[in-house]
Amino acid sequence: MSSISQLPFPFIFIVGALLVALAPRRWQPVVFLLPPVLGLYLWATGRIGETLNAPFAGRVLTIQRYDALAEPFVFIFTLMLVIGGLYAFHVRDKGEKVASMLYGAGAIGTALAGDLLSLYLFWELMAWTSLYLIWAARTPASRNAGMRYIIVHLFGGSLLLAGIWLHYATTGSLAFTAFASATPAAWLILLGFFVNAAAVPLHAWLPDAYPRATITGTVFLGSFTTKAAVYVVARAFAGWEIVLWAGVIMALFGVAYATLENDMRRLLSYHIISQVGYMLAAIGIGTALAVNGAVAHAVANILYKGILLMGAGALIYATGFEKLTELGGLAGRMRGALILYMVGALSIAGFPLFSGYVSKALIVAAADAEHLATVALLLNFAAIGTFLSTGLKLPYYAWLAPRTQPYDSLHPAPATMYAAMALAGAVSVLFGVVPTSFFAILPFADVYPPYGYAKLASTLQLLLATAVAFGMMLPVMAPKPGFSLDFDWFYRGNVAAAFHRLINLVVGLFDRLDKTIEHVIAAVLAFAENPQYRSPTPALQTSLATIFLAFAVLAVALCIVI
Amino acid sequence: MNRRTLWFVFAVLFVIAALLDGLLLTPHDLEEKPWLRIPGFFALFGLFGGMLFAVAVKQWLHHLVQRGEGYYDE
Repeated sequence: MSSISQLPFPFIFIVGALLVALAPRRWQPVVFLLPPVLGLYLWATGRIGETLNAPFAGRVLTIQRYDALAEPFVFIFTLMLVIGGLYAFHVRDKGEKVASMLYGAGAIGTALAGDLLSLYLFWELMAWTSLYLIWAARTPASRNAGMRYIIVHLFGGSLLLAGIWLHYATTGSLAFTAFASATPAAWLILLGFFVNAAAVPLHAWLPDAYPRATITGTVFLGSFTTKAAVYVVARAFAGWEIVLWAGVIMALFGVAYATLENDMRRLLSYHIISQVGYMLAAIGIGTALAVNGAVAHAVANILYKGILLMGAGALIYATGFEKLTELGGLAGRMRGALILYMVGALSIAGFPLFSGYVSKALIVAAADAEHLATVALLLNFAAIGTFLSTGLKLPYYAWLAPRTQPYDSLHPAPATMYAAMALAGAVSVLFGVVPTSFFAILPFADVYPPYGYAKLASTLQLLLATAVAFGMMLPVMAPKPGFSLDFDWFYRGNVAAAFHRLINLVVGLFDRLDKTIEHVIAAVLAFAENPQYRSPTPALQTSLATIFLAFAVLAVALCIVI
Repeated sequence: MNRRTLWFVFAVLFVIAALLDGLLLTPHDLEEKPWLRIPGFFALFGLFGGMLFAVAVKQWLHHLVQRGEGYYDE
C-alpha cells in the first residue's frame, strides 16, 4: 500500500474511470465506488504522497502538492464521488459514469497541482468532462446549454492560459503560489478563476447549464467546478480586496435571483453563486481565520448543496416535474426526501447544529475581527434571503402546499438516492454538532467557537424572524411561471441578435464594395482595351489595366503632394 | 398545513425569537456594534429583511428581469 502513495493521487480516479469503462454493465455502479473509497482510506491513513515531481520538457513539474490547504478539498471531492456514486447507483449510462469519475479526477488534480501547467491540464479536464454531464440529458435544451457552457469555459481557460504564459515569460517560473502583486498575468489568471467561480457578471453559464444536466450529473456539477475555483483563489489571491467585494456582490446577487426562480434546480444554481460569494468574501479578507472560514464553507457547501440538489432530483425523478408551480402536495408521499432535504436547507441557512452554521460563523467572525461591519451585515442579509428561498419557499411549494391536480403516477426514487442524501446529511450534522471534527481538517489553527450563547441567540432570532416574514408574505412569495433574464442575455438575447445584424451589415458593406471594385475594374478594362486589337488575352488586358491604374494613382498622389 | 396553523407556528417562532433577545442584553461575545444596542435587532433585521426581500425581489426585480418561459425559444 505504501507504493500507492508514490502514485499521483488523481491517477487513482483516472484508472478508476478506465475500469468503469471496461466493467460489465451490472458491475459499473460498484466499480465506480471503489476508487473514491480507496481514496478516502488513503486520506484517513495519511498515505497520500506530499510532493510528487515529474520532468517535462526540460523542467520539473510539481504534479502533486498535498498540504494543509489542499487536504480538505481532496477529502471533500473524494467523499462527494462516493456520495454522488451512491446517488447515481441506478444509472446505467457508462459515459456518464466515466465522465463523472474523470470530472472528480480533474477537481482533485486541480486541488493538488503544484505548478500552473498541471493546474491548467486538470482545469480543462474538468471543463470537458462536466460538459458530458450536461449533454448526457440528451435534450435539445441541454445540447444548446452545453454548447454555451463549453464556449464560456474555453474563454475562461484561454484567459488562464494567457496569464500562465505571461507569468512564465516575465518570471520564468511555473510554480503555483500566491500572487504578491497585481501584475497583468495575475489579473488574467484571476479572471480565468472567476469564470469557474461564477463571479458576477461571468456567472450566467451556471444557472443556464446546471439545470439542463442529468439529475445525477447536477450533483457532481454543483460540487466540483466552483469549489475547485474557490481553492485556487484561496491559494493565489487571499487578501485581495477585489475578491472580497466580488464575493459580497455574488452573495447578494445569487440570493436575489434565487428568490425569483420557479425552476428548482435553477433556484439552487443561483444559491451556488451566492454561497461561493461567501467563500470569496472570506478569501478576500485574507486572514487565517477567514481562509479557514472559506475552506470550511466550501466543505459544508458541497455537502448541503449536494443534499439540496439530490432532494430536488428525487422529486424530479418521482414526478417528472421541475417547476415549483407544477409541484406540491408531496409531504405525505415523499416524507423521507423532505426530511433529508431540510437537513441541507437548515445547513445552508446556517441553523445551529449544522455544518453551515459553523462555517458561516467563522466567516462572519473573520469579518468582525477585521472591523468589516458592512461586510458582516451584508452577508447576514444574504443569509435571510437564503433561508427564505431554500429553507422555506422551495420546501413549502414543492412538498407542503396543496396541488390542484393529483399526480398521474409517482415513480418511487431508489433507496440508494436516499442513502446518498443520508450520508451527506450525517457528515453535515457531525460537523455541526462536533465542530472540533470540522476544525481538524481546516488548514489553519485559528478558529472561532461557534456555540457562544450570544451567537446562538442572534442566529436563531434572525432565522426565526425570517420564517415569520415568510409566513406574512406568503402570497407575494408564491412562485410564478417565467424566466429571469441574466447576463447571458448578452450572448443569447437581443444584443446577440443585434451583434449578428451588425456582422451581417459589415459583411454586406464589404460585399457591395467588392462588387463596386469589380465594376470599376470591368470599366477600366473596357477603357484600356486596344480598339485596333480586338482579342487580347485576359492576362494582357489585366496588365494593361493595372498599368493604367498605377498611373492614375501616381497622378492623384502627385496632385496631392503638389 | 392550513393558513391558521401556519400563522400559529410563526407566531410561536416570533415569541421565541423575542425571548432570545434577553440573552443579548447580558454581556456577550459578539463584536460590539452600534446596532446591537437596538433591542431585538436580529429579530427586526430578519423580519424586515425577509419582507424587503419579498417585496424588492418578488415585486420590483420581477418586473425588471422576468420574461415568458420560452423567451429564448429553445
